[in-house]
Amino acid sequence: MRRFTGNLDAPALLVLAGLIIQVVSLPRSHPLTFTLFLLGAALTFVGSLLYLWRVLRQGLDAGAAEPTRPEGG
Amino acid sequence: MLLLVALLLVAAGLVVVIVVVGPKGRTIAGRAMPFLGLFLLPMLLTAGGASYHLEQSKSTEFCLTCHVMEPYGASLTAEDSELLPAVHFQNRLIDGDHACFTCHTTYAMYGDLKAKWSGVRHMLVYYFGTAEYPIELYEPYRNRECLHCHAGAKSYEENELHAEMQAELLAEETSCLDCHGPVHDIDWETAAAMSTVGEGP
Repeated sequence: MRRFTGNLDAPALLVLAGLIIQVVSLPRSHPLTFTLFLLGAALTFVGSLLYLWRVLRQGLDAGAAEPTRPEGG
Repeated sequence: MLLLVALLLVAAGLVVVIVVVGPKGRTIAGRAMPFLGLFLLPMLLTAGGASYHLEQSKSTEFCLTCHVMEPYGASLTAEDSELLPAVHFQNRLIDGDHACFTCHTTYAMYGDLKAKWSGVRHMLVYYFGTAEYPIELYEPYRNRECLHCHAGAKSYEENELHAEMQAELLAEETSCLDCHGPVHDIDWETAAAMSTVGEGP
């Protein structure tokens, strides 16, 4: 059996769940769908920020691990 | 709206592709796709959806879909009435499609958002608490909301009493509603009979 090698992590799942809730709640204008939309928007927002934070942290870590060039070489 | 739904579906599909395919190395495309699918597109579409929903939620129809509001909505169409909502609505002094929101928003910075946040609080009370009549405002009604339209109007400016009380009115020491009431004169027995508060809008 082939192992799943995808990118199943919290940011992607949050964004996916948030977008699906938004799709479901958008077509009808009703107080309940409005509140559902806000929930979807919040999940998407948190997921996107988590993704951005991870990218920034990876960038910072990569920058810190890069060897410095010796002077006067 | 259909375009927005279609784009949301595309964005959700893109997230699924990112999840299934996984990281694609350090190429520009391999980095750009997750950024597009997990950040840029969702944020833009969420902003677009929020703007659409906010606009829709200003409609009179939207407010009156919640049956708790029905007795208040009835003030708009009350026959031979001197109630403020009836006078404004029936004489087309306000936009009929935004009748509730025109008076029940805050004419200040982020006023629309503040009004809609109050609406979300209504929803939370409705589903997780008990909505009880009479529904009260979170804070006293301010003259600022009336003066947003009436200040500068000939009928308002030429009224001697208004001129005398101008300072008091601007300082919110005297409410417009002290003289221009009642606003929603509701027959609570009828309201209680037609309403099933607590069973959902």
